[in-house]
Amino acid sequence: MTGNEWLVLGMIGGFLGLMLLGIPVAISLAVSGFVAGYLGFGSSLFNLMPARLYGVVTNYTLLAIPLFVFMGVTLEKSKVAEDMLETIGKAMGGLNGGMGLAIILVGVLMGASTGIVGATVVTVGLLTLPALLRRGYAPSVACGTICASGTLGQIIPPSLVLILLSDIVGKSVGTLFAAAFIPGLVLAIIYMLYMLLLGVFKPNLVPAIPAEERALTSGKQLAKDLVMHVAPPLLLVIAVLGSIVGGIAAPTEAASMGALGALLIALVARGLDRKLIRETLHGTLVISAMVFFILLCAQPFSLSFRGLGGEQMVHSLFEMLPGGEFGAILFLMALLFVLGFFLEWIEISYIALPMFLPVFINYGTDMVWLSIMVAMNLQMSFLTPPFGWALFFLKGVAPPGVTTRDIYVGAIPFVLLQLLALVVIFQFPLLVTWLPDAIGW
Amino acid sequence: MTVLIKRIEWLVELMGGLARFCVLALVLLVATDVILRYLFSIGPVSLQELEWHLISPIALLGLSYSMKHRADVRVDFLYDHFSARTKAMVDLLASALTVAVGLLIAKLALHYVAQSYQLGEGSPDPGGLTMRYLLKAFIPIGFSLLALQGIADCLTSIQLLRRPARVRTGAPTTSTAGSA
Repeated sequence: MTGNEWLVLGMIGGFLGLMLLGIPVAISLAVSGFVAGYLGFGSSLFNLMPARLYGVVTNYTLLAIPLFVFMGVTLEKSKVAEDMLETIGKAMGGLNGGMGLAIILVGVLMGASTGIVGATVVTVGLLTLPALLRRGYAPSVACGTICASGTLGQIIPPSLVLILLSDIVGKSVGTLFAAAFIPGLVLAIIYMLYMLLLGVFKPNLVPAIPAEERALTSGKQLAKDLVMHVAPPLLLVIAVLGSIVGGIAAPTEAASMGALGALLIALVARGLDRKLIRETLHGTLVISAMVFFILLCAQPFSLSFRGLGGEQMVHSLFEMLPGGEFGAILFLMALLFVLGFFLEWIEISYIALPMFLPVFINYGTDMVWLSIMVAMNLQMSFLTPPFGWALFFLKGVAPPGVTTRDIYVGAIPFVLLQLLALVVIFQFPLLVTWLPDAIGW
Repeated sequence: MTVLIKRIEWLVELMGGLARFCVLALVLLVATDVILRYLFSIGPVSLQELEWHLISPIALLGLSYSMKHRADVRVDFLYDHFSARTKAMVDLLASALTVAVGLLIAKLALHYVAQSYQLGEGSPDPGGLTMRYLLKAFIPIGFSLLALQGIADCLTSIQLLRRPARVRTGAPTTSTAGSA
């Protein structure tokens, strides 16, 4: 190995080491990138970097991120999401597993509006876990359902992962959203079937809401609540997604309409006050800035990686793998799955994936299909014990009686369902490519 | 020392306020543009350019703000098990590195902005916004603020480390909940 190759390995090792120590991820990236770059090249390598930073903060595609985040945060902070969950829960309460179904549905909608694992798991966890336990749900089932619903946001458009991936693989956001549509829905349906089956075969794990409690809310009231609390956000998400996937509006445009729509819904449902707007803006700024922080600090890292010949190293690594394209995809999936334990989606899609991308471009792999598998894979990784992010987030907000073991045990069936979905997509790429093709993206 | 920390955080908070305002402006601006275009078929280049011009203040002024509010992503499964003293030392290292990164990028970017200023660079499109160097100036400004926030965090950790061990129970707790 040449000196530069050792530097590349040292850089990656240094990054992982700093990060595991608890240094913020963005700073770890920048430090390891700068050190390796200066050691290998002196100062000449980084002269071009400001232009790349400028490229990141003027990227029109990334403009959609603060807008979608704003939409989700508004729905969350204004308690519109909470009302929605409450109402769907009541509507399905008569069914064994009904509350679980409600959580999955809300996960789909919330995930669709924020695309952020942490936000969804924390919100849904805080809102529903105590209620589920009170109604006699098994803690493990309750926890697993919440975590799984929270991670759905990775694949269900408009997820932020897909926006970033589209930028990286050079496809339009609309294409990836359309491509993720069927896989995302299929996965949500698989989850719901699982809930229903649990309700049939193990009703004591997922009991229905007792009839006395349901009698407190009249059918008329419930219908009114459904129209008031569920229909507006549901229509909003459908309108936003529909206009993007249907090619009527660019993702950024649709996102701005979604943000405006969320504000209107919040206004009608709860009234807007200064505090709510302040909190929403704070949440949006902090989440968006965090994403950009990592994207910016990834620049020195990726400059050094390329400059020091890292791409060549990856190429030779893949050439040693047996099985050609198939083997390469398998290897990539396994690697990203493990990386998902340590890294968030931003680092994986923006740093790890681009390292391997040229190999797949050489093979002529369908980038849309690959992107969806990556998103699905990340989602599974975030749900897998013992390291999955979603599990940590839920543990953070779970009431004292819920043990880590409950959360782990509950997540396992959903991880297996995810794996099933991933294998299905791998076997039938048409599930991914059909919709974008049919629409003519 | 405490005064200096307060001053820095006041500045970061102030700039954060500006960035928060930009978020609101962005939402309203893009929405207005879309409505204008679809209903009235008006789409001035300047308004469209303003859309992506607003990402810079949000992203770059937001850096120090998210750092201050501890929203930056960090991996804490080792960190959580450290003693309060070790945590403070890791925090000190993190903030010292933040200062270094902030200053280095600000220095590199300053040259880049100066070049743009000398050229009097504006939008290449007719009807576009002029004075693009102002937009580019957010890069050094944002990273300088980040370095400042790093200095404030350094000082906080030093204060914490200097305190006798008995009092040091209230160490700041951070979490990975960057997106929570």
